[in-house]
Amino acid sequence: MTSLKNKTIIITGGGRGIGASACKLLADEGANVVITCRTTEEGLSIEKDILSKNRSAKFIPHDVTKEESWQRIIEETLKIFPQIDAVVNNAGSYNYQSILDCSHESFKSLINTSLDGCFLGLKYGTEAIRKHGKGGSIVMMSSVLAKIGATNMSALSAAHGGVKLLAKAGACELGPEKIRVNSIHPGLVDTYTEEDFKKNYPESIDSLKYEKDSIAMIPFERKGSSDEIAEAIRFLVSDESVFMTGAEITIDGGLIAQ
Amino acid sequence: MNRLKNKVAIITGATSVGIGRETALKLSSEGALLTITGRNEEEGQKTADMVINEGGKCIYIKHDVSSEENWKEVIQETINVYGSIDYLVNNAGQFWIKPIAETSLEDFKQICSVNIDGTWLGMKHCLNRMNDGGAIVNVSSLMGQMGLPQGAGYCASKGAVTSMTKSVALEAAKRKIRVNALHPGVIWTTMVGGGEGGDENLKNFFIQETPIRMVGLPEHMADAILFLCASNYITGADINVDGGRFADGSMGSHAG
Repeated sequence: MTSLKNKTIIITGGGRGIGASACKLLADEGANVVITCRTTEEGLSIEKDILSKNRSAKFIPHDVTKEESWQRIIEETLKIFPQIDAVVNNAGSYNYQSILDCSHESFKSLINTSLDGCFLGLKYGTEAIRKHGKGGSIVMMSSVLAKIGATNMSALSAAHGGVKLLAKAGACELGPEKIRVNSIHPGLVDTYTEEDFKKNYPESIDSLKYEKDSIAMIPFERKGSSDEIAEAIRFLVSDESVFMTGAEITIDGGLIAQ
Repeated sequence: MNRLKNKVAIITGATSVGIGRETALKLSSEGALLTITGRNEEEGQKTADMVINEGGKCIYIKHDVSSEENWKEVIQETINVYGSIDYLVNNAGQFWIKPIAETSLEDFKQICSVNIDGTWLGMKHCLNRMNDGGAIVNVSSLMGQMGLPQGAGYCASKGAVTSMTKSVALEAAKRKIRVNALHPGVIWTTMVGGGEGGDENLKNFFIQETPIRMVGLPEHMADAILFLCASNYITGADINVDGGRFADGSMGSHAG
């Protein structure tokens, strides 16, 4: 398929999970994919995977919380590809702790990665898309936690709620120049193995039990897959959604409809 | 492309130049087999002919969506012709505005009978005849989630569509049938005084009050309908296709 032929798309957190699935799908659709993440081995592995299929990809190391890192991403991308058409702000962190257990440091760290990272992606992404003046698409990875509350998820709710409205603010401000900003709201998604989760989020280990119990609450009786979320990313960066901005796509198997 | 290859779709309100006709052409181009319905026989047959001329399969059935008898016929005839049903697009709808004090109860009941009863009847009679894994897309409206002066009847009817969508999504989940609502903003069709030969001043007004500075076109809705038919895990959702009008809560007056 070629729905994204010649579009250059930056995807943060592209080394694993939803980001990795999105990188592969968008490359399959003909896009030049810029994979960004902090863990070099993961980024390089996705790059290699895509290049082996004769698709276009470049990994660039990236800390989404740092302005200079964003500046570098844009510069490096424009050295390789002619223009930037879309930015997918997918990188985010995780925290599952009660309000009392969650230290202010942990709270701030999550906001820094998940919310500040999206703000910087919106800011530098807009600047990059403006260079060619033809408009583009910025996708924000939020969560159903932007729409409902949940126990032990105060930091995530605050961050994802912020991301949702950041997208709407961006939609209003950037609409006149045809830069679209939309948010995606996954429910539970099968992205981590239990082992990886324990390694990456040791303080949130109780969440594993919570997730297992929660599956029974999902009307579709299963978690979503990262490929299913990637398909919504594809839709939002493609010309199939040119009249959509400030919109939310919830992908949760019916979780929050009840 | 073949995202819906040999899947059977029913599309209501496909008898005029608008969302329904464009959706018929779009779903057919992805391989779907179609039943299209609506009240205007001439236009309905024209849509069917357009689909067939592009190499698709399509039957037209005259249909008043507020009639339960009509719905039974549409579903039976679709089963007779294609053997099963995968998708239902409840697109038929009515729009008008009038000051509430000047609106008769008959007027109110009438818009509700098309927009609410029409959607409800479609879901009621289709659900048990649909294949597992299928999808229902209800074309609601941005006005299902916000107010519009003189629009009490329209807004109430579309609010009902969005909310019943979620209930039916929960009921249908066991069979992995997805049920979602779309909230179009201004789609430039005859329903809002637009389409070919529409009022240019009105069009410019809509453009200026939409953050993305354009009016929606039927193809934009068709793309979103295709996306929902072809997805797997989206259900009970409502998705705006409105150029940012909802995000800009003041109906566009602050845009830009």
